[in-house]
Amino acid sequence: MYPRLWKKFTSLARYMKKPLETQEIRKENEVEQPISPNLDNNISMLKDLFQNCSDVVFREFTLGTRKPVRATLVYIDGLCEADKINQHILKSLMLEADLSTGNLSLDKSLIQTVRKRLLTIGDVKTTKMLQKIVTYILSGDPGLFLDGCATALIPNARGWESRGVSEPESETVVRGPRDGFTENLRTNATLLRRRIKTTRLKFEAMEIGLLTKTVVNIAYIQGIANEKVVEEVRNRLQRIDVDSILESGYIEELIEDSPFSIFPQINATERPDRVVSGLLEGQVAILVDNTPFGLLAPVTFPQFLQAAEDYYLRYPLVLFMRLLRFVSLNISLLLPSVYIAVTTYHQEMLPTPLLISIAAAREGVPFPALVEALAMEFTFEILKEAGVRLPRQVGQAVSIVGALVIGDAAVTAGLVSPAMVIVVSLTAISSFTIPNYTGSTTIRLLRFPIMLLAGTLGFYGIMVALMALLIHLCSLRSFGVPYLSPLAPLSLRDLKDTFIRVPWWAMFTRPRLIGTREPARQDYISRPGPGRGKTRTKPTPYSEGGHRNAGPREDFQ
Amino acid sequence: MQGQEKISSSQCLLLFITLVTATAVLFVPAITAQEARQDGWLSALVFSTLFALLVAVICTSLGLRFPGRTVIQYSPEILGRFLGKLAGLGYIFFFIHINSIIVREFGDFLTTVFLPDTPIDIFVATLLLLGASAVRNGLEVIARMNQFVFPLLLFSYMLIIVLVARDMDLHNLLPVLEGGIGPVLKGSFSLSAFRGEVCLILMLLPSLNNSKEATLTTVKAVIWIGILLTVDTVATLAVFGPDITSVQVFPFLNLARYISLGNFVERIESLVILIWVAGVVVKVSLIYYVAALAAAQWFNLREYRPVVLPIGMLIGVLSIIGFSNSRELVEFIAKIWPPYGFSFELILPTVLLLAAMLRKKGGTRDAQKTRPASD
Repeated sequence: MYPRLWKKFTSLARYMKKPLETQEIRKENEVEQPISPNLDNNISMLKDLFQNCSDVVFREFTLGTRKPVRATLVYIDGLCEADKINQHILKSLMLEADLSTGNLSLDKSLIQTVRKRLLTIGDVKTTKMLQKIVTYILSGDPGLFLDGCATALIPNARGWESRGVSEPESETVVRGPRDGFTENLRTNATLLRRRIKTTRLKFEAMEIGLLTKTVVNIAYIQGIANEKVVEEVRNRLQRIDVDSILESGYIEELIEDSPFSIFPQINATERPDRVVSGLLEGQVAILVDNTPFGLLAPVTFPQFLQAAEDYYLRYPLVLFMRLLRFVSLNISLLLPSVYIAVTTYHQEMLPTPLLISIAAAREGVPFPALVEALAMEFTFEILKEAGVRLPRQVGQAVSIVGALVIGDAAVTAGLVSPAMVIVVSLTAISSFTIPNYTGSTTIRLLRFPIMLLAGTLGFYGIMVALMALLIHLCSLRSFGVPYLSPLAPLSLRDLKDTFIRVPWWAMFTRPRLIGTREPARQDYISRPGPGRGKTRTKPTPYSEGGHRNAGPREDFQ
Repeated sequence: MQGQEKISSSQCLLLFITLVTATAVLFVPAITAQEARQDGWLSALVFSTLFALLVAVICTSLGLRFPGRTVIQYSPEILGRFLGKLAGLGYIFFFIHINSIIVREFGDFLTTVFLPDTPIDIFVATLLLLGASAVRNGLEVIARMNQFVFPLLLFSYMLIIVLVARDMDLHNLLPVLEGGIGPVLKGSFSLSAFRGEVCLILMLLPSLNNSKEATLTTVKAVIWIGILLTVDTVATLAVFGPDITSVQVFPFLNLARYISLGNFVERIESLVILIWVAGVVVKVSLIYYVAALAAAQWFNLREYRPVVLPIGMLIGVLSIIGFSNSRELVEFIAKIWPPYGFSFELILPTVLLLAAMLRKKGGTRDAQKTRPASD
């Protein structure tokens, strides 16, 4: 039986690895057809392609030059700014053409003349390929065909309805900027550019997805980001061959290091300031069109415990908040399991009065602690999930059901002990202090296997689970950077931004493993205080022999 | 196989400290006090340290003669094919066997003090599964894991020492050297064998990213271990006195049990055990890794990962059928373990080193000629 099963398995594996047959759509994408000089040919071909696409507009007109030329503007209604089409393309070409061309002979350089003298639009591209212009039209640029020209013009007139920049809902702060990414890639890139005014900030564009042709930008600061990481990101993105990218989550799953791990290996954030601070530390950002979530890589586990606000509030408060978050992480991961282990196996650990009150509360409860805890934790997850999915108007219902029916009534009915309700609520609340949504969900999910182990092996089971988790975390890497760094491998210097955040005037270096290219952040002169107004010059430890600003560094060339 | 994974000197140092102290701290005060009475701390501080230093120096100077290779790979060159392979086999057996002893010890410990109704097989199986997954992930992961675990170990260790400090009576350590040097020496036998576990450097040396620091690292580790164990022994003796200390099995645990702070912080030994579990996982993983690596090299395999599970099976089975009860284990550790450990930790490396020097095999420490990998 065993060999047969094995055979079946291997054949299945082989089947899964077999390349799929090339489909029609894929073939169609690979066609390269040049534009013909005959306008009618082009238009009829386009009309063929855009058959039954009622949103496509074919505007036929004649150039207002001395010698009239027939032309057609093809665009998708709603993806172009009507104002630009009317004022800067049609009006320029039809009414003002004669004024600016005058007596010029147009026969030879019609395209160049139209481009240079007529179209009053910032960005005008040209192409000779039909497939290419179709893609441009579908992306929102109008295509301009002129009779007698084998080249088409693509004036940029993109513009469509989109959500404005608003406060990010998944990562709120009390102090800090309130703008969040939107669904528009250009807006998002602008939000970054507005914060970093250097030519070193690069946005490399590429198109991913056979059908969606989603534009993806790799953003990084040249000279700070490690080129190897940038190259790796680029390669991994280029390797993607899927038909659609609808959200940055697709990209995240397609480029992470360990696809079977439960831990997020790329940070997704809605906050431009967070992305910018990541870029400045040497991370690489990936912006995806139609997604208000930018991706940051490489990422380490401690970064999931850092909120954007940590860098805006005063540093002593941040120490406290980080400590709080670290404790909450442990509570949300371990509290139910510890409760189970203590009440089931290690009663001796509790002081007697506490033990008595817990025992008294548990007296009427018909379930063992493990079942009680699992049921309650699961109930909470249901409530949470319902809270996310419910329409806003019925949201009230969830809180009433949650608080009254499941909390109060369950205790009164003697189904669960009050201590358990406290444990579950504390766990739930704690898990939401983790600033990263994916991170907090991961931790909440991990609770369940740990609870099972605690219910079977007590504290030893918890420890086994934690060690297994530790082994896994130690073996994870995000784009080559160990996931638990700077804790393991230990880097004392980088602990400055892990459990504590040192004041900004002491933030001398970037993280060692991420920002290797340019470790120095600032000079030693920023520390404030009376009488410290004058600039002291002191060599940084990272430039050998001389001041950092003395001249361009060799590796910047 | 090796050469890809590198650990730093500091990682190696921490690994060695965890390797020895993870288990030794628990029972060292008792085994030294049995012979040396109130001078047990001298056994820990002086004699076992000297022995471990000897092991460290001999093993590293042997290893440094053959850069980039492990004892399994160079012993055939020193002793000839048959004897060399035999020595290699001996080491594989030694690593597997001491690991099974540690696993058994750990299991016995947990069934005794923690979960008395749980069969020992469960502990053995879970520990080895964790070990196997760590070993399959490689030495780097074990080293990183230890960097995370070690501060916890150190913290809990210091916490206990600090919290029992008010119960210490240093008069319990007097008189010094009551019975002369003999008992102190005897008391350090078993401990020396445990501390000789730093001989793992024979296998780990090629994995150090700076092998020149190997001797220094190992010596540093030995000294740190000596300090930790001495403080441990002093604290235990000072609290319990030599009589009570020598009859206990895990005196350090009882020390933790002794702590009572404001009638609320009580019985924190469970937490101590938990943190010690983490240390034991690291220890077992490290020896397990070394055993798997040794076996793979002995068979000239390209990869050690295929032998991980078979080795784990051997360790598990050996730990369960090796001793019929925990008393037998205690006897073994007291009587057989010292000469057994000495022979692999000190005698065999010394023989190898002498043979290598006489037969002029391997480069000197200064020259470090890199020899072709195949022989």
